Amino acid sequence: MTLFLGSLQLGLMYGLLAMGVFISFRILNTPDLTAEGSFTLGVAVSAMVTLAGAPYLGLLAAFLCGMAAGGVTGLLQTKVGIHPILAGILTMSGLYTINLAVMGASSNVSLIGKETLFQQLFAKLAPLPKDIVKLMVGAVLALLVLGLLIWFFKTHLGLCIRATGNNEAMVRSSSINASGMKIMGLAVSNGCIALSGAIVAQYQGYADISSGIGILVVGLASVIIGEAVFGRRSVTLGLVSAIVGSVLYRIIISLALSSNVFPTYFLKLISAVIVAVALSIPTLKGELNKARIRREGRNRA
Amino acid sequence: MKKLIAILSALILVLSFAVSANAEAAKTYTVGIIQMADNGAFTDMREGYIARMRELGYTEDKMTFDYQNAQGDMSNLASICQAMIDKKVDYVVTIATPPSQAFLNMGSDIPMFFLSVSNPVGAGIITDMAKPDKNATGTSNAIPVEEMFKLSAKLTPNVKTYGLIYCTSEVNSMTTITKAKAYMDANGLKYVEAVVTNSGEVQQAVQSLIGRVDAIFVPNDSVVQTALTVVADAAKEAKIPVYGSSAVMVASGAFATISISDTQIGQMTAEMSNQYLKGTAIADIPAVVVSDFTMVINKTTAEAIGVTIADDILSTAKIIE
Repeated sequence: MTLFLGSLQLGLMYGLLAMGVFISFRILNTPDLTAEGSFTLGVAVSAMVTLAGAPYLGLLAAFLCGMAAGGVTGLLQTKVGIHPILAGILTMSGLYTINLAVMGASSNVSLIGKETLFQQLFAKLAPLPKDIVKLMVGAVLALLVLGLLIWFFKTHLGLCIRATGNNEAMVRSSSINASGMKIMGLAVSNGCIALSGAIVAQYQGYADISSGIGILVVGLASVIIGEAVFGRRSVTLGLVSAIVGSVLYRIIISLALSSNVFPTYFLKLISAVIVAVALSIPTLKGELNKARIRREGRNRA
Repeated sequence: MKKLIAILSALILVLSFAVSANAEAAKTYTVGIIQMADNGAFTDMREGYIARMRELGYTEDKMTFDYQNAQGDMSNLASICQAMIDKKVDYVVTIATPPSQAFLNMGSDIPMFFLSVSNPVGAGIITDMAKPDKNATGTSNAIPVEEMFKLSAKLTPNVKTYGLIYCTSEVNSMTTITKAKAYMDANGLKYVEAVVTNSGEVQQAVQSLIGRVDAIFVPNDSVVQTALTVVADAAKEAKIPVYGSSAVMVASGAFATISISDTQIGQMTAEMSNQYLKGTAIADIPAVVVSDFTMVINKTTAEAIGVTIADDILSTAKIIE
């Protein structure tokens, strides 16, 4: 049960990451590799501010720092004209040093026994089981950010950002500042990613410089799994499906972990295969449908 | 929506199978092992631990090991820890700092034995090494930096400048490097640093040091360790010694080290687990800093770099050909 609840908790927290990746990957239509750096930045900032005694402020600070990181990638892409993939890589590697600096030149900062927001809530909501409190934190945060993003992408600014992702030439010819929109979009995207790191750091009880390794793959897989379930329709549905995809991804990982059939070193392959199978379901269904229609056509002829 | 329900129900079905399959093995001990990544030192510790437990009489019908490896991916650690708690293992063994922190932070009542945590107090998993207070105890293998440099002074007395190669992302190697720098500063030795962030950068790091240093020191760094043959080969060509931090490094071609074998660390931790299983409370099993070291020398490398070793040293050292 811990594993199932844990997958839900983690899925919701990493759902923020998935929404961030959705914004750059689907709304802005640009591959952004800043995630590995900005996630760790969120982890680091949140841990240090928590150590200073302000866990909630840590979340906000992490979000703002993530926005700044995304802004830098945006500037590199638009103002300096660096290829989007390279711009992300540059920011990501630069952030490595900044993250170490944030953590006081140490690669690991412990939050065990410190006043994280979870510890504070455990005390406040005392009779509730800890797992439920953790789930509530994940759900409240995910829903809050989801609501804000849905609202944001319906405002004038949000609509301009979406338009830039859809058709940059059209946006420019309507004399909207397309570069500014890109920078803003990447800032919001990386803000969400850093916020995800911020809550994960307090959840897992430590910050480590390697926290971000492989995180982009997690985010992308979550977005695509979500799309396999809901299809690609509106931005609102896309954001919702990113969170659902993230939860499903965690459940997949937990299944790979609890299957004792394969040796331990199979973990990555098993999770890759399960994700691939989940993703191929819509296509397979389509093929089956086509085959059925063809068969019926022949029968009629 | 139908699709979602179908996928979810399929997942729940598989999950329930997995859970019921685990419920059967009830009479024996189940021990969870959580390893951070695939690296020689961690694997040796794990194998040393398991082998010693088997020797102590916990044979396969009495104790099963549920070994999980995060394969370097920290987002998997939480899931692995939760899986262990779900399976209600009798205790867990964690290898490296992040798994130890991740498991302890879950707040379960399952005891934990940690290995390869260079600074357990700093990592927050114990308050006082002598009095485990968080249901966790284990071994810490801080590298004996001072002994290391004394060995170097004996074997290669002309070395004045050391090259340091390490990865900034590892808390264990950073701890060792800080100590090494302090020692060198206090003893009038010079050093040049070469920092890497992944094992692909090691070759260039070594090349940047060659010609500027008289010897190279590699801390207990799993990133550099995976590329140690690169370091050893370049150093051999330049005829300078490489001092490592584990026997595994010397076996990969480093010149010498003062260390405890990783297998032994695993064995020591196994003895602590045995004490616990025999009825001692975790709080009464102090965490220890491993301090029983042996000298390990690679003879092939010694010949390649033209160092002759005095017989009295040869007789006390463990020699690797």
